[in-house]
Amino acid sequence: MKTPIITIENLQKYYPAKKKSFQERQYVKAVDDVSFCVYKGETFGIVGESGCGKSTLCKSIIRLIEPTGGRVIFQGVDINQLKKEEMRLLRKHMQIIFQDPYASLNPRMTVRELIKAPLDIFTDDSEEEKMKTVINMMRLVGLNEEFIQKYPHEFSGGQRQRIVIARALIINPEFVCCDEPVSALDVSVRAQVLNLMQEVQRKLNLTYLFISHDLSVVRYLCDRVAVMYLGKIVEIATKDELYNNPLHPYTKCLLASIPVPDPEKVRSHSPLEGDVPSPYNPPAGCYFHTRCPCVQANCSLTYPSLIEVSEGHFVACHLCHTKEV
Amino acid sequence: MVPHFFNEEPYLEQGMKNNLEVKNLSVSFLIRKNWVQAIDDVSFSLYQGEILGIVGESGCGKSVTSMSILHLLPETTSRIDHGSALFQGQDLCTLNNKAMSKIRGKKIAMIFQDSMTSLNPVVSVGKQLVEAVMLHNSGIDKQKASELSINILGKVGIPSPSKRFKEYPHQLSGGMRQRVMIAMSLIQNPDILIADEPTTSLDVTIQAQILELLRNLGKERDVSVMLITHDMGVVAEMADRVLVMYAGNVMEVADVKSIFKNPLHPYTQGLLASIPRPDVDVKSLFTIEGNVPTLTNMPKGCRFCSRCKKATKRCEEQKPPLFTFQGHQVRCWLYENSKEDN
Repeated sequence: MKTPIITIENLQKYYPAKKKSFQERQYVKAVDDVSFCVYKGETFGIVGESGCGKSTLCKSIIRLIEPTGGRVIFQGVDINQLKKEEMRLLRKHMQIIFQDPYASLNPRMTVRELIKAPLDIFTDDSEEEKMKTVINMMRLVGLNEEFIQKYPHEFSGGQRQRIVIARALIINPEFVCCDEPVSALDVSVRAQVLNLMQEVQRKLNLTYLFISHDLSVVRYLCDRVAVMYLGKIVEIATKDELYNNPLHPYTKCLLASIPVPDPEKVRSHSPLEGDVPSPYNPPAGCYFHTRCPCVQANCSLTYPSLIEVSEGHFVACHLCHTKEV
Repeated sequence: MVPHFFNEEPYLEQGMKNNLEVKNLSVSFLIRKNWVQAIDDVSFSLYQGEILGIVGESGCGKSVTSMSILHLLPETTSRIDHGSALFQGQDLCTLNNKAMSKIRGKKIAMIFQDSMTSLNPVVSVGKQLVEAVMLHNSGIDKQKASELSINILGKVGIPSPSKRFKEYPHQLSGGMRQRVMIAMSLIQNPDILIADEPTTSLDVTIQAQILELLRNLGKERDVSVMLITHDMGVVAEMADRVLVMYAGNVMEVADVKSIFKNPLHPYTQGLLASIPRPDVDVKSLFTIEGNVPTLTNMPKGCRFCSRCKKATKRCEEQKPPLFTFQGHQVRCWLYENSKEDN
């Protein structure tokens, strides 16, 4: 019934740390052994705190950075085996939207040039056809056609993100990676962009990989959600399951940490003590055991594997595994 | 019928005293040789021991309000057009620099958003704290100031404070640095603490810790806190009263429960309806169409009228004053008729 559009198997990205004399070189495991698949037409969310490797994961999935190990299978093709030219052609089907719409638009290009650029690269259409496509796309994302000759600095943050979205969607990709697309935007503009993303997803039948640190936004937009902590996925579940029945203690703490915009639901104390451990030197055993409120003896010994505890709900926690047995 | 009350009354009844009173404050900036008004006619009171949340989107003037009270805006390109900020019988707006420097940091302290840029990277945390103590207390010696600093580092929840005392800002994590900032601002026992987006650059789990710390220390020391933020969740959790700003105007003031339960101003209503919730499923988000007007291009009447669904011709032409309605102060013509009730 559901067909995966992209499958990620044991993906790893290690960055070398500075080597000290007489010591072996150490690696920061930014993404460590991550596996999941994204189904066609869904929005798959990845949440986690800063430094947990969500952006690295996103970039290594679409091969903007070369992963250290593992496989990414996009529509039956292992993209890490592709040659440069084959990869370039495949990019037509996968696009990315970055967080900062100020940094991701060339300030010297007009809106027309910006949105048209992917067409120049991937299609042989005539200029006239290209212009028509550009104008249609601008209408779709809610940009006034009169803006076509303007430069990015003349736009507000929300409008710039619309330009970025238009540019990503103009060559009809099937799969779009969104790396914190609304984090730089104000509340009222954020709602506009979120609704726009939902609308174009329905119209163009897109699949999103949506990366965010904001659990409220993820709840609004995503169908399934993965929670990351220090480079590893600790829990994957459908949205309803994750928010109503979180199993991993980290997910529980994360959910309890968000301030709820309702003064009658105020919590009395912060649920989690301490800081995220340094990724250079993660704790032995489960990475979360140093902060975990329900830590057990075996937590500091072995890292728990990601096990399916109920249909579609995967958890990496010794606690949940023993309960199951 | 429930009697209408002015918004000051419930606090005065409990014997709360007015710690800071800002009246009709207007601040302008020099942009391309023109003076452009950034905040216009901002009035509010800050009561003893309360947390006043100031919310609004970027550019609405929430930071400018606090910075101008403390004279932290550049003198050459900004000016206070009119208005006053009464604090302990003095008008802060008319104070000279010397008098102001005695209040700033001692009686009114401030915490900024980015702790990395507000701490000096080449001076150890301890030295910076000691400096803060010695600056305002001439009688104290270095030894005593160090003890005091280590003591307060422990109070803000920094583990092994005497070790951290000697460390430099880059050796601390973002959450720890923000704790140092809080320690530094509270070390003088200020009457007012202005926290400008204190947790915006932090992760949610760390944010929860810092907010808890701020709340507890504020209550313990009976400090009045002005909490400036764009996050409605943070406001709901922390504030006693809320002030909503839009494009340099105060749009609505009310206590926290009624602002979330019964927002009156169309902007507040739209703002609340456009936040995705972490605790409940939202089918479709409400959107406020359009963008915030720029400073150089403000509408003549109500500043929200171009995006307001309930706007009438009058809204475009005439700027509404703050009306008092159901305990809220609200800047909207919709509540004009309630004026007779008061």
